[in-house]
Amino acid sequence: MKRARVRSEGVEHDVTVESDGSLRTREGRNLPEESVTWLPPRHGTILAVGLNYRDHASELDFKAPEDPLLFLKAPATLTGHKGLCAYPEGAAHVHYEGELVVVIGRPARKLDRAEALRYVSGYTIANDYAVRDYLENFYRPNLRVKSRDYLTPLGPWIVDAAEIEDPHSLSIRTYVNGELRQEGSTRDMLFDIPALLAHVTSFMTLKPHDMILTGTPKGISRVVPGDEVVVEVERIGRLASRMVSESPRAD
Amino acid sequence: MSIPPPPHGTVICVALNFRAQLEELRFDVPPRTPVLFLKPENCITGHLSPVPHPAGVEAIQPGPALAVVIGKTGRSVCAEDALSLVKGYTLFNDFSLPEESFFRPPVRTKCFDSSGPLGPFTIGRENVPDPHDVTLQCRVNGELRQEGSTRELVWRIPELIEAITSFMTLREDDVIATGFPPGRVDVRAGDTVTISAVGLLELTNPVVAEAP
Repeated sequence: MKRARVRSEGVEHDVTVESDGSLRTREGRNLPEESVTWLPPRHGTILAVGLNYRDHASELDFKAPEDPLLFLKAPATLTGHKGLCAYPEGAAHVHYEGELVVVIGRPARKLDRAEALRYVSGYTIANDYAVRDYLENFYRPNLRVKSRDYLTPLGPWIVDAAEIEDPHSLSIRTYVNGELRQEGSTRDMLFDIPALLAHVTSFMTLKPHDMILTGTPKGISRVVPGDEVVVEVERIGRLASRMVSESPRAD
Repeated sequence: MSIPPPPHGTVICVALNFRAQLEELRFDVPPRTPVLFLKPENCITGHLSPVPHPAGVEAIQPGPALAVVIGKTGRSVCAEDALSLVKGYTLFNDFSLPEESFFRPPVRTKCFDSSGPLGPFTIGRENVPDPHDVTLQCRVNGELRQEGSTRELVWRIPELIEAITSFMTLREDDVIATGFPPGRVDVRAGDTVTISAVGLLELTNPVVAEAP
């Protein structure tokens, strides 16, 4: 089952995505895809993991960390599938980062590795853009780099965990204007999903709809306004977004 | 009897925002912008609610802050207009493990459950004639252990709002904890911690042992 959240004629709906691609509301009504705006799936606290693929860590000249490098994302940064991403005026180093996202299904505290995957309700996709122009060596990556408005496409939907037999054997590919730019596999995570869940829940309780963005493999590169960017995670789907220039005063 | 925290959206905190602390730490390259971190929802708790002391940790340290409560949506707000975004003020207590470094985001150190008491309620901004002249105190079991004044903020409230809204939208009930005085103190299970904005608000929380 694929579950999504969309807006149609000003009303938000929780929908299931049927095998023919139609979007069915809880009331059993079908919404034509072309009539909806995709919203990020229902979410709680959003954690992300930096440098979680060895090849990506070396690409950034970092040694692989000993504990997962965690950071939090402000919810205002999310946007849905096919959303517009606002390119920060004056920035030169805006990089996509295609990632598998783990969605929590029930309250989780002090999990063992062995039981951790039972607390996962599903998986989705994120493009965890970074504006590297704004990096500083305080709480790096800082909020300005990773929590900018409309710069984290998430979705299109959540695929039930039961349908993903092995979340550690999924290919991740990122395309810019149709050109394959990034390719990796979730088998190369430094901290796999049970390790991430055991670590995070060792100090904080995760709740239903909380998410962990599990990191990006090698192959980041710059994007510019006008670029169409697609992150594809095997068996989950394709998350599209378009980079547009931001007006210097958005209010 | 505990009091639920006031309505809140995203809770953004500012580290290294007292001059004396920045001067003492003598960074080769000081921060160019406010040093921000988030306290997620599992942290947020209210007045008189227990703060569990995580098992296996020597000590935790409260951090009193005057917190700005946002009243309306704003993006790219300049400092001159920033105070019009403010609905009021409350207190935020950033319980934290001692920080050995400021290099990586403080998730393990600051995001343990109930580590962010907020409240007891929001007072309208008209009740705070000068938010940059508020004395912050931290008492442990009644004894004054830490004190500072918002006069010492490196980035003042209008500058914080300008800096944050330069990249993200602030919405009604989002909270900015404006800064924590230096000289954090260790507390343990059994201690009672009261922080205050002198003459305005007091926020009290007992520290208890974490449930297994």
